[in-house]
Amino acid sequence: MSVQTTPALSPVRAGVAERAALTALVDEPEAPFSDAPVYSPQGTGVLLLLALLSPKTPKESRPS
Amino acid sequence: MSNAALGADYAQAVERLAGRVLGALRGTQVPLPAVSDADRPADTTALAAVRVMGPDLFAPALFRRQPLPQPDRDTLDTALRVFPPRPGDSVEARWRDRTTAALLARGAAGAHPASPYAGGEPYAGEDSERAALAEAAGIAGIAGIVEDAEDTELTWQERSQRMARLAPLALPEVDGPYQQRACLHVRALSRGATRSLMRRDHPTAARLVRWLALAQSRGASPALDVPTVLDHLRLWGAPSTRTALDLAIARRLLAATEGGPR
Repeated sequence: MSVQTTPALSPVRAGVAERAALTALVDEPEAPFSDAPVYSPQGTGVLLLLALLSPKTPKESRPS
Repeated sequence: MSNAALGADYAQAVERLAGRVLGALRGTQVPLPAVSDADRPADTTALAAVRVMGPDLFAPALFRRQPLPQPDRDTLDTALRVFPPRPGDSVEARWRDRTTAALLARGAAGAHPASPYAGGEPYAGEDSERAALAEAAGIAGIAGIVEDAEDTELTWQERSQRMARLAPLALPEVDGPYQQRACLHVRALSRGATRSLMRRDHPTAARLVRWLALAQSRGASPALDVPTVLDHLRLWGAPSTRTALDLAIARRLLAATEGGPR
């Protein structure tokens, strides 16, 4: 990798906000590891309701 | 500019820079962004991206066993001046800065003599930020020993989280305590990678597989088939350019194991 040469300047130190934004990227938190899924009996009712509310199959129209 | 917008700008700059590094790794010649010229101030966003990438910027040069070109070293040096390391940085950030400083100090015989960072020796002074960089570039001192002692009691979940954040340290020609731990704790990292795959946390899986590829290249035996995992992640598609870079580096590390060209 090469880069174009530029005149040397005294760079300005980053401000507080810039520093905070950089730190958030460097210390990006990883998704925490979760435990195994746990059986939830309350979920059974929700599944039954969704099944009842699911759209019915269309009826075939008889040719006239 | 709001902090959220600033963070989004920096994140986009990191993705663009990761794309340049990936292109350089694959053989195209792409430059780091120009730092500054006489007509405009230093591009802080580009420099922030350089700081976030840290050791990953050396990947193309390390695989080719060539020194980082001097203009790129100057860019890194400027980025370290604008965003210097600080004593309150996290353990992972300090180790990434330490690795960056050590890589900058390598082959620094021809470096610009006025640079305090490329030469590996900061100016004499009481500046706490330069002291932090001196600690980063030096051999592990008391703080490093303390960190090592705390690391022995980590669970496999905690170890995987830490090593994922330290994935930029998984590079060829780079050695240190975390590279050694990657070889020693392959089972823990394999568990972490497997769990990440099951949860479809592909960025974390890619970072851990990068460590496993390094460990395998140094003689360790991961508990999962690293080439198959790499193929699996490739087929899923990398969600970001940085993840694609992690996968590319992992693949090159494995290729080095097989005796092929890096």
